[in-house]
Amino acid sequence: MCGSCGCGDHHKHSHNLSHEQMHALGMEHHHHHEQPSVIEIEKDILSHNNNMAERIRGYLDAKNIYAFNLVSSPGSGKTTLLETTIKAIKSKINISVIEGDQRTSNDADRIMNLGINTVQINTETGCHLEAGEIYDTIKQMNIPESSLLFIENIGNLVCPALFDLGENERIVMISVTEGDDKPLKYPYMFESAQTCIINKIDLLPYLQCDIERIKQNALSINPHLRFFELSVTQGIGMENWISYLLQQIQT
Amino acid sequence: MHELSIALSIVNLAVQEAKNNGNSKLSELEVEVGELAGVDINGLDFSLGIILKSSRMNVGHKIHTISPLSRCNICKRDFKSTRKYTSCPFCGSKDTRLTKGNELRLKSIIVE
Ligand SMILES: Nc1nc2c(ncn2[C@@H]2O[C@H](COP(=O)(O)OP(=O)(O)OP(=O)(O)O)[C@@H](O)[C@H]2O)c(=O)[nH]1
Ligand SMILES: [Mg+2]
Ligand SMILES: [Zn+2]
Repeated sequence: MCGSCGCGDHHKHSHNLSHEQMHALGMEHHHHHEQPSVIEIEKDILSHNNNMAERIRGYLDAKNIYAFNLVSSPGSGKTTLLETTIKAIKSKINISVIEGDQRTSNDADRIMNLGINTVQINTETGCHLEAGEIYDTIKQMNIPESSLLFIENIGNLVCPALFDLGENERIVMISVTEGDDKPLKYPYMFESAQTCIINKIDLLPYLQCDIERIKQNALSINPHLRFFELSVTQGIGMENWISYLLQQIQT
Repeated sequence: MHELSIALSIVNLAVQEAKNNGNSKLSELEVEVGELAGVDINGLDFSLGIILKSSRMNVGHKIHTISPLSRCNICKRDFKSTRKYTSCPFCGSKDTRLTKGNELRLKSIIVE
């Protein structure tokens, strides 16, 4: 047993050097904690995602790109909204799209068919997009200045709520077939969004759905929400939506 | 099930912190989760257990839950809340903010 440090006979370090000196020199050495010690960390677990999101924000800001993170349950009409929107404004403004799905490139193919710069991210088992993969994707996309970027998140109202993608605006979409109390069932998503699109209003005559109730429920979760009531397939409410989009990039 | 990916981030962060602390061996990690953080605490507990067990690192874990608290920006009083946006029970103002209950933090680690 070594009398100086109590580390046993096989220690490699010289006792001429203090522990701090060994650290400074990057020398390999043992540590001895007589008993387990507690180290306070106090670090945000999502800090990596949040840092990447801030980098995205800086990049988009510098290029005057306005980005939307579009979230909803599966099948609310996100891709259909993008298709219709693109057809309506691609002559006025440049649009790029990132499609998130667990599998297939079906949604990206639909958008690419319209001649739009599109990248598909397949998360496989992942249930949400994270800022790191968006950052890598954006860097290789060559998005032009003063344009719009849509990120269609995985169809899921739970997990994507927690992950900031560096977007300017988060849009939660709900279709009228999904039940008036959806905002109450999935509060985190409605809490974290700035805009709520209520879609498929062409189906209202066939349903027991009260749009005002959906709005009240959503507002009780988040009083700052802005609403659009749309039928994407029938083109109802689309002028409001389109003029709103065009305003985002002029200002 | 984002709890699994969050649990993985927690373990990675804790291992990294132990490494930064002179390559010490991690023996326990402690996290703080707010009740309004959007994380299912049982799911997180379960996921952490599975990851730590399968990694054979012999690391224990503890989760502390934090109850939500809001502050009114108008009358400056604190009150218990059940969600992010709640009106003030004292003055009725909607101008309130959550001051606790949103945490998702690696609080501390124990190393040997
Ligand atoms: N009646 C009606 N149907 C719609 C409307 N918008 C979309 N749909 C239909 O809803 C179905 C799903 O639409 P998508 O656009 O693929 O939905 P999504 O949200 O992209 O779905 P995921 O990517 O799988 O989550 C399609 O059959 C659309 O034609 C609408 O306004 N009214
Ligand atoms: Mg889609
Ligand atoms: Zn008050």
